[in-house]
Amino acid sequence: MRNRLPGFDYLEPRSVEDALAVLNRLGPGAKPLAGGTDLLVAMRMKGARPKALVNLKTIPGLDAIETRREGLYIGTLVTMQALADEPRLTDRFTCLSQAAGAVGSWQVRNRATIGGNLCNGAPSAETAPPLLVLGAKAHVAEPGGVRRHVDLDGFFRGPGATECSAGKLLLGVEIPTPPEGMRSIYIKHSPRKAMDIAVVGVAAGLALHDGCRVREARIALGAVAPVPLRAREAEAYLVDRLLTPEVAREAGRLAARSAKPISDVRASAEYRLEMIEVLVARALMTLAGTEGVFERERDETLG
Amino acid sequence: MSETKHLADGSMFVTLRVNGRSYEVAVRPNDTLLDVLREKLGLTGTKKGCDLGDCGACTVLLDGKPVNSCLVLAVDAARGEVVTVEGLAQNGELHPLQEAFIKYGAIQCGYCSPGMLMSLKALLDREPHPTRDQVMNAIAGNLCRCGGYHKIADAALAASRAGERGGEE
Repeated sequence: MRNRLPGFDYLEPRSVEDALAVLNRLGPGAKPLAGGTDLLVAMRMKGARPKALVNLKTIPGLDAIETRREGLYIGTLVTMQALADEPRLTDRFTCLSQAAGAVGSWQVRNRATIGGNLCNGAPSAETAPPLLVLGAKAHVAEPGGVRRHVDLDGFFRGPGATECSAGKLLLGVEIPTPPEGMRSIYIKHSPRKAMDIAVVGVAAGLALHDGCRVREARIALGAVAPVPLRAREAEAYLVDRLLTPEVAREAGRLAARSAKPISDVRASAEYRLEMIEVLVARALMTLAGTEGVFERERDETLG
Repeated sequence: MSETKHLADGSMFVTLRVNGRSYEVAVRPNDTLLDVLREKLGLTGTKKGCDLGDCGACTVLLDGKPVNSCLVLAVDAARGEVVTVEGLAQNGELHPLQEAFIKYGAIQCGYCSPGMLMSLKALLDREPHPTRDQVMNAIAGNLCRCGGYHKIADAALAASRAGERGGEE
């Protein structure tokens, strides 16, 4: 058999405490296995050589989407396709539904999990900007029955590094119900419609006072810094302003100031900065329902 | 913690349910479902292309959902119901999608066809009358290097129109 996966010990824990115990006993060489769509590829292509894989899918109860008083709770093993198909996400948590549906292919979405997407710590992680916009909290389990609720804003530490590093497990994310009237959107900028990661990912949430004056705006960016991040300066600028195309464009310029993109095979840093401006403005105007006005301006701008 | 029952060479016996049959098979933890289907069960209809989840040639249904069998550990598949392209024909009759693939010339070199069929079977099970966009989206993870996508979509849409069998078991 060509290209056999490197060998590893394989474990099937039956509980979170089991899994934590074995992960801590074996040390950083042991990796949790969720969907495997990143991990198995890393083992074939990127030299990842885990000593042991600890299959989280044998632990009951980690793959549920629950309605709770404060909002939704999404278990770490919920797949991207389950998120994309979930009716409870469509209206109030739109940006997350859109982002999950934009991941990879149908085959990948049927395996890839929200926990894996977050814990791999990719700057381009599709679900991260939406969860930042929605103000999600990560529920992290540590040995000894310790459970911590970490604001997703502080969850990402750098490329490949998160609060859920070796010896801990992400159990799920808690997403508070957005404020009344807030709508959200995720725009993935990518040369392909499928099977690629984002060059720039923009999630935005917007609530208006009277149809055009901003009550609250939230903006988060992916693939343009070592970690997914909120664009706080742009958010603050928008409050109480009339959302005109000019204001949206200025918010885009401010959002780009939050970013520190790299140049790589997908795009240059300069291009990414330019696209943040365009996409943030487009996201805001789409949410405000005045896409048409903005489209004309954009066409003129881009000639 | 279940450490499962390992044999001397590190392999273990699992029960795989494939196309309605149960197979007791010795697998190693690093055997993928794809390799076990092809090498141990002799079900070579499922193809190996990239072995990285990019090309979709190895698409099978796991609990009714299309997945890349190169990215599923065989031990992990033991919890589910697998359907491969060999499971499409029933009682010696091709599936309407297979009939349509032949009629519309949706097969060129044929290497992507089993994966395409499995993605499209999953689509028609979920959405008996898809739009062309839904068809293209369903096969976005299936690479056809002959570039035969249009005829594949034509065939899928014809199958959805033809027998209602396209959508029902």
